[in-house]
Parts: sequence; structure tokens; C-alpha cells
Amino acid sequence: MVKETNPGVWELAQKTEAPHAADHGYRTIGDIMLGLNPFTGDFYRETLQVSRYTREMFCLMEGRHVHPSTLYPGGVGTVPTVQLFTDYLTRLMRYCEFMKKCVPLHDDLFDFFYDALPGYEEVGRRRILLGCWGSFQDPDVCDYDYKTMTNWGRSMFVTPGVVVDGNLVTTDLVDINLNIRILLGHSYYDGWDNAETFVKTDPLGNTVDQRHPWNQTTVPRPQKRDFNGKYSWVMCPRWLDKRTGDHLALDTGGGAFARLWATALANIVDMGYVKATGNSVVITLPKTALKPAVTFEWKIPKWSNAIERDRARTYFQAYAAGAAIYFVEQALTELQAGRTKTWTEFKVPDEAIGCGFHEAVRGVLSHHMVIRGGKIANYHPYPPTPWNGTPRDSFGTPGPYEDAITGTPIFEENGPDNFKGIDIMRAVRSFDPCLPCGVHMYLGNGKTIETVHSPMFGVGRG
Amino acid sequence: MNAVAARDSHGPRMQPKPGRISEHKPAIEEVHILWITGGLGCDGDSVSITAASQPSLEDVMLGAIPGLPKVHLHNPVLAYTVGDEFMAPFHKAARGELDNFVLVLEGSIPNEKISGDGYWAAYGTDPQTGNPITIPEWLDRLTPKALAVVTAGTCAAYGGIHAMKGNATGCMGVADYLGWDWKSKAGLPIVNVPGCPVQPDNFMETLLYLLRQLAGLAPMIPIDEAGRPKWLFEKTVHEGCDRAGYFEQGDFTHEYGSPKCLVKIGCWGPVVQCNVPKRGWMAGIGGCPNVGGICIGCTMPGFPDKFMPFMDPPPGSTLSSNLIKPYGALIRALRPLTNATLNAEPKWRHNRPNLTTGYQPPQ
Repeated sequence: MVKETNPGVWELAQKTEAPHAADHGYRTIGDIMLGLNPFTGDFYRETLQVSRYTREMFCLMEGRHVHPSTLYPGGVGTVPTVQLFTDYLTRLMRYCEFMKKCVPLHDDLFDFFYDALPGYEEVGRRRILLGCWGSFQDPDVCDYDYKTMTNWGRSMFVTPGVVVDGNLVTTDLVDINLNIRILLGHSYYDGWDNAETFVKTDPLGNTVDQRHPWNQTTVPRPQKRDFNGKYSWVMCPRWLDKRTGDHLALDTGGGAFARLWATALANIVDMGYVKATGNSVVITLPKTALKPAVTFEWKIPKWSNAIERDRARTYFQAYAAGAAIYFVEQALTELQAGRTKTWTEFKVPDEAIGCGFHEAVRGVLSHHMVIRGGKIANYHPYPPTPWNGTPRDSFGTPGPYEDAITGTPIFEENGPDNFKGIDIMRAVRSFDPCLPCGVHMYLGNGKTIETVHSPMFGVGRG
Repeated sequence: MNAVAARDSHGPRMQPKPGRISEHKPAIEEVHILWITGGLGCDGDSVSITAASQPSLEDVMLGAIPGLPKVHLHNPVLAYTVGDEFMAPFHKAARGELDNFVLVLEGSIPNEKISGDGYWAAYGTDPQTGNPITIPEWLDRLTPKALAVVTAGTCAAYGGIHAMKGNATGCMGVADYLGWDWKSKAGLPIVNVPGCPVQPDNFMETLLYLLRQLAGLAPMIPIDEAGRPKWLFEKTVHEGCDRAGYFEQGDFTHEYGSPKCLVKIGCWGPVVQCNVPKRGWMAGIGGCPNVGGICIGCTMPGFPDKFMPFMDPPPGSTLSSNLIKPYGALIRALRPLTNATLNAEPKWRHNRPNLTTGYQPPQ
């Protein structure tokens, strides 16, 4: 790809020695690039294999991938055995060994781009507006009661948080919850100002806004696409910054980015293998078959841009591996102590409200539910895609994709005739690797206009 | 096969024919796979098939299986190209300029007769009108020219989750749209590979079969009345379940996290056609009931409505599980007796200074 879009950079890459060649085995940056080529590249094919045995780890406990089949209200159906954890652990350690090559390889590649293309930090750059809803509960603390959510939210092994201009505004899940707003903007839906208010106050007595997901009424209204009017099935989730009254279009930075940033600043997480420091996250992977123990440090970067979103991915893979070692050690202790119960009876209440916050791969995932008469009366999930891919809202605030590519400098060497738009693609792909299928480039009169349409934006996705 | 038959029927062993390299040129040299993920779905089937290893995506793409035509895959989740360049083969195929292609659909087909000037789901933009191209429009443009139409996952096959009662889009499966007796220009029926998501190897194996058929190396794909490849979907979950022994012994769990039979806590395995417990999810690992997940029938045309509410015992299971109880109880009481015998070693294995094995030296 680089050869097609930036022949000058490709020339340089072939001559540039990779600083961490001893760790990953690729002598030059050009060799890394060749290794990443779809299907023909050996690193590409290796990552396919790695993605398989790590999914095997998932299937050991969840039965299938992508949709797990062992999650139930009250726990999981998985039967913990010595064999299960042996099968898991052996694959995990193979993965740790792979990460010791994967992280330095990506560091070399990304650092090279900054060197080879001065100013590349501007590609996909936007204001630092990050949301992370937290991951990996601590079973010693978490009781899933809304009234104690602030506390158990902060005990998660990925800290929830909102980061604005590099400052951690909150780590409180109740605060995060109450300030979510769903705006209409340019989406194909009717408003619900006059619709039913399902939840007036939360269990702590706080007022719940009519535009909060608990109170959302979805009325889809398909209509002709009009880029000046309504043009997207994606809603406009925003987070109200009470300090300023701004409805912030938070992004997830592709997930890993916001997770690392919030966790680093919060300075709470310490699992041994993974530790937050206040300005970084330190990850230690123990000795594996062919490589000694290795410590990586993800440092808070200067920018929220395409390259740093991508870099965060590889570091978070190492983070997840370190966390998994910690968790499997806990699990083995439980198993060996004979504590193997994985599920407790759950009865659906007659009347209740509920919410859930977690991280999907690409970032924030929330659920809001209202139960009446033992049935679902209202339910709204907000996965990362509506946050990242939202159109302009009713205040005219653009969503993160639009924001990040507006004014992005173009480094591609191709002219309009064979323009690929690689810099714009990298910007969008940094939020969501699956999305560029839905990015179309239109060139007209020297002006580049970009629109996003994607199968991901079906009505069922909220 | 003929040689074997001839040998058997003629008694004395004939001189075997000299061996030869049997690989020959496929009947068609190149095939494009046009994969539309733009139905109502989650791209989960595309992600799922990257887990396949029997064959793997790269086995098919790189020509690792003998006799295959050269395969060009156009799938948005896995694509290298983007935007107009990515969409070009789809438009080309619609214009009839792409000779050989297989159309793969992922996601359910919304009813665009009820969406007015808008669209429920679209894929690409019409260069003439500037409007999004709906999924039914793509079906109308591409299916008359496709060698075969394959659905990946339950949504495209039968409608799936989006098509449940009360949905706003009126969506359906591909065969509901095209008609269940639809045939491609090459004479192939719609081939459905359901699952939520599709089991990776099930899909890739079906694709491999079709490619071999198009290459002239395999007869017409055998499918059942729901369009499913017979060899993959003719058995039930229960018939391949590694917990079926508990059922036979009338041993049912009433809570999750137990190794026993799951029927009483909502498993529909006895009446659902799916090979996942037998095959595992990938590399023989996983498979819903094997690891404690109830079968909710995600491969079935009646999914999800006919399996809801999830976690309630299937109505028919009360009769079968009650009938099996007395038999199971008896068997469970008797089997330990035999089992205890089998757990004891024969008594001639000892280190006393005499041989008690019954060995008699030859006279």
C-alpha cells in the first residue's frame, strides 16, 4: 500500500533499519511493511493464526465466537476444570510470546512514519475527547448494585473515565451514566420530547434527563438521504460536560486508546502484570518459551491522532494478555480450593430498571433497560460505533470521524487521477478497522468530500 | 473405484494401472466472490469465517486446495481496496461484465417496499442518482448473473434476529425474497449456511464444495428443504452432543455451570439441526452445549421466535425427559456395578513368587 501511495516513503523504508529488529526479526521497516501485506505477508498470516488460537481460548469458555453462548443472568454456564484452564493457559503463554514481537514491531513502524513524514501527527488528529466505560470487574468488590456503582466501577481492572483535553474529568460510572445524552441531529428518527418518561430518577435519587437512553423512544423514519438534512441511521450520543454545558462528542479512539488513557491518568489499576502510573501504563509479560520477561510502557501521547490510536491497540493487546495471566491465576486458586460455582439463581423482577457499562473491543458499550410486568419495556444499547460514527447533532457538533478528518493534511503522493485517500482511510480506520468499507471518496473541483455509509449502521444497532 | 470393483469381481489380482497426477485444469479459470455484508446484520459472519481452518480463508485464496479456480474475494471487512475502487467489481458484475461470480449475502434482507424514499439498509451509492443502493436492488441486479447464491449466517438465510415478531423493517431471508425455488443461471439453488454466527468451517467447507462443483470436480451440492448442505445439517445437536449420555441416564441439571444435560434449563438440542457440538466451534474446541451453553436453535428457520423465551425448558422436553427418568434411574443404578468391576484390575497382576495368569508352557 505504501508503495502505491507514497513511493518515496517506501524507498526510505527499505533503507531504514528497524530499531527493534532483534525483537521481531524484521531487518528493515520495508520488511515489516511487506510482512503486513494481506495474505502474502508472513506477519499477516501469522496474525490470522494468532487470532485463531486466541479465539480458541474464548471458545473454551464461551462455546462459540463471535456471539458467546454461555452468558446468563446470574453467571456463566462454563464448567471450571483443570483441563479448561490448562488449555487456556498454554495458549495464553503462546500469545504472550507473540506480543513480545508484536509491540516492538508496531512501535518501529509508527515511529518511522513520524520520521519519514514530518507533520504526520496531524493525520486523524482531533481534540482529546475520550470515553471509556471500564472493563474487567473485581469480584471482591463488585455487587452490581447501582447504589455502590461508583465504588465498584473504580475497582475495575480497566478504569472507566472521561478524558477532556488530557484531563480526567470523572471516573464515576454514576456520573458517566447520568450525563449521557442522545441527540437527534441528522439521523432518520423522530424525536421523543413528548414521549413517555420511563425513568424520572435513578436509584440514588438523581434526576434522569428525557434525552437519556433510559427515556429514549425510538421511532425510525426512513427517508431520502439528504446531506443537508437527515443522512444517517446513526444516533448522536453525547456526554454532557456539566462544567461547561457542552454536549461532547466523545470518541473511543478505537477502544484501546481511551482505555489506556483513562486507566493511566486514574492511577488505580495494579495487577502486578499491569500497573497504572498516573502518566503511563506499565505491562510486564513473564518469561515464555523462547523469550525472557519483557516490560512495555505505554506513555500518554501528545496527540489524539491516527497513529497513536493504532499504537494503543498493540499495547492494549499486551495489557489484555497481562490481565489474563492475573485472572487465570485467580481462577486456578478458586478451582484448587474447590470453589467452582459459576452461577447463582436470578429471578427477573416484575418492575426494575437496569444499566450496564463495559468495553467492547472498539470501546464503550452501555445498556439501559426498563422492566415492567416482568418484561422489557424499554431497552437501548449504545455500542462504540454510534459514538465514533455519529453524524452532526442538533447543536451542529460533528461526530468524531468527521471531526478527525476535517483539515487532515494529505501526505499521499498520488494526484487526483489515482488518489487512494490513504491518509483519510488511516484516520477512519484508526477508530474502527472494519469501517473503511463504508468510506467513499468523492473528488470534485479540487475539493475532497467524504461520506460514510456502512452496513454497521442498521437500525438494529441503536 | 472402477479398478477396485474390477479387482473384486475378477478374483485374481490384476496389474494395477500406472499412477498419474490427476490434477487437471478447473472448468472455469477464475471466480470472483462478491460478498455483501450490507443486509441487517453485524458483520459477525465475516469475522467468524476468518477463524476457519478446514479450509482456511488463505487456503482458498492462495490456491492451497487442488483443482480450485483462482479466487478473487471482495468482502468489505477483509478488503484491501476502499470506496469506489472496492465497489467497482459489484457494479461491473451488475453490468454483466464479470463472467464468473458467486454472490454471498450476509445480513437479513429488509423490505424496502415499505421504506418510501429512504432505505433500511444500503450498500454503495448509485453513480447516476447519488442515492444509496438498497440490498434488494443489489439482489435484483446481481442474482440473475451469479453462478451461485450463498447465504452466510441465519440472518441472510432466514431473517434471523432482525426478522423477529414486531420488527420495523419487515426483513426476511434471501430465499424469502427471491423465492424458495429460485435457481442460478448455472442451475444451482440458493445454498444456506445458517448459524449465529455461521460456524467458520461449515461456511468455508460449503464454499469449497461449490468452488469444486463449479470447477467440474463435484456433483450438485446436496441440500435439504431449508437450503442447508445435507452433510452438515442432517444431524441434531443432541445426536452429536457430548452430554447426551447424561440425558440417556435421566440426569438433568437445574442450574448453569454443571456438566450434566441442559434440557431442563432451556436447551433445544434434541430438535435442532446443527453439527456444532460434534465439530466444535473451531479446531474441535467449544460448541455450545459442550461447554455449558444451552442450544437456542440459532441455525433454524424458526429462530429466534420459536425458541423464546430463552432459558425456559422446551415444551416437548417435559415428556421425553419424564419418560427417560425411570429407565435412566435404573441404568444409573446398574451401571456402577459393572463399572466397579471394570475399575478393579485382574487378580493375576501381583508380585508374589508364583505365576497365576493361567499361562501354560507348550508341551
